[in-house]
Amino acid sequence: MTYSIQESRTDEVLRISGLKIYYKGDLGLVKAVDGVSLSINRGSSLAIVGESGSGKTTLGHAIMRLLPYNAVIAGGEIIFNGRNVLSLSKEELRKLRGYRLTMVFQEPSAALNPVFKIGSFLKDVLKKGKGASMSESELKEEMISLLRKVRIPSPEEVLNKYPHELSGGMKQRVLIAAAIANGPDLMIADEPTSALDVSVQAQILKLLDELRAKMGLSLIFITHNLGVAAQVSDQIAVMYAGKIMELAPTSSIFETPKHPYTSMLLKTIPTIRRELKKEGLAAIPGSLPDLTSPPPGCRFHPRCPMAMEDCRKVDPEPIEVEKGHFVSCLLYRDKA
Amino acid sequence: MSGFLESLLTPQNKMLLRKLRRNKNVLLGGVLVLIFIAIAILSPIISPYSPTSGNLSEALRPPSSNHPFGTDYLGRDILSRVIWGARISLVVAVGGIAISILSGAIIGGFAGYIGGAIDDLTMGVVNILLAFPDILLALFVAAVTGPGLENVILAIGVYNFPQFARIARGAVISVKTSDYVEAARASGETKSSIFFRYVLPNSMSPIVVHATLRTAASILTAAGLSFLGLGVQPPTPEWGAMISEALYYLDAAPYMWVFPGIFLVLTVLGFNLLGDGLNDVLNPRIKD
Repeated sequence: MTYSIQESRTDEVLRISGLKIYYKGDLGLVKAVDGVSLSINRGSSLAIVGESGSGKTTLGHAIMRLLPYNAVIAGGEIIFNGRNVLSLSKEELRKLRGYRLTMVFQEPSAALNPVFKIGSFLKDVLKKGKGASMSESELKEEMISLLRKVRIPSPEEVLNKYPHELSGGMKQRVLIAAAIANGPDLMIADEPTSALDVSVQAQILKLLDELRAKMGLSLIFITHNLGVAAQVSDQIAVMYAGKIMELAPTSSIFETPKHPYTSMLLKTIPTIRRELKKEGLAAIPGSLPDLTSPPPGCRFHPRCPMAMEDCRKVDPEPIEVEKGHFVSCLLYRDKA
Repeated sequence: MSGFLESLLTPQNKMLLRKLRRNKNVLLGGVLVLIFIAIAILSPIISPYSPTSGNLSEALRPPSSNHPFGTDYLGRDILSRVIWGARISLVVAVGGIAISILSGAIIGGFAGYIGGAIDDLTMGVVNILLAFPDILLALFVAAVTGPGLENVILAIGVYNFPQFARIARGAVISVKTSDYVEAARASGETKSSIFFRYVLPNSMSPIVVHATLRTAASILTAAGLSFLGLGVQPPTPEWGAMISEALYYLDAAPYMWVFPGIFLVLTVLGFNLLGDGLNDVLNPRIKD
């Protein structure tokens, strides 16, 4: 069973079906991603939201096939532009990365090589794609226009600077410039604003959204923050313990959340109103299950206030409760 | 040129410079090393006599205004020989260290980068080499290849290699897991480009510190090899060889060994102080 938002699939950039990624650990296999399916269309954006350890980063890295050595792909496929990323040769993969498929990382200060000036870093990126046959002056022009696109003031100067001379927000803009340099089809942003302060965070989110709209870029946005997800995504996938619990258009997630986990997650967002009423911060009792031996049935049942007898036994399949709104919960099995 | 220099004066570099200037070891060591290097480079200009030809009728003269350090048993001017000796020591040390940095950084760095069986194998060999006292390694290479300047350089290179290989491996392992390496992989850089452009340059600072420390030991070892007759051959003015020649005149002409000895000690001291100081400043794990 595969999630799909729109009927027409001609414009599909990425389709993941039944993806399973396990880590080999001392205590056995850690089932970090366990049967995830989703798809994303050209020009649209999907936020993958979940707690630490829910498998969202593993999922994002799997699309780039940037998995650590102890990761095992136990099943499923990742179809990007019609080809399965998991069966590409290293050479084909290398040509895809940084060109059709790019990534922005969480920590901008750590993601730039400290020994390169911004100019030589961007030049490298461009030379792999559309800058391959450009002259030096054309390359420079292209770099400057790229930096303009990501709203960097005085781009000529920035080209001559080292990463440590830029602020965190500027570095993240440079990394975004690199990620869009060759006009990719899909950009994966792994918590790109978590290391930035809130005002810079808002600028970066706005920038990403603009670029997506302008360039027809598809965006996968990995975050633990529902508020951030709301600002940049058309759809949200809520992950818990390696599975997608609910996938729906962003407005439906906020207005009519179906899964008990989603509702509880929404209540944990601190708001001024709740603060004033001294309600304190809501928390979901319990913690993520041990993924070497996840609970049988629904993985959320030990923490779920609505858990029924069957939740211990039956692993719920995704059910389309409304058009484009999928939920994996036994509460809705009559509606299937 | 001034633009280039200015571009080096970033706030971080300025702070580094201030830290370097405050460090007394760096200051004293740096002065000694600079004097040594200046003598080595300027030796043809500043040495008053030829270092290799002497006047036998003036042999074994004690220090005088004509020969401030005296003359040796062949009547050669000791001051000139000491000055040229600096040049030989510099060539041997720099050449030997360059060989060991290149081979050590590439082989050790490669092992750390690849990991797995290649790493185990390489480090096995390096550990075996490390198990020998390093002077023994140098002696072994010098004995096999025979005496001569090039062979001393090679011996110094081999003698330092295992340490540089280990240090480079450690540095590379810590750098290869950094985010910018992962980002480079995500942007489709080739493995060799990641190794040479991302991993190696960022692994250099412990190697540089170790290189200054090893320069001192290398100068000493090269002098030792020459002292034993396995190194640079007469009549080349080499400090160790000069001390060795002075053995027969220990009390009759102490100036024959005292002056090269003093220069050897001061040079080694200078490099050691500089290396220790650099280690204090550059090593992030040591905080003041």
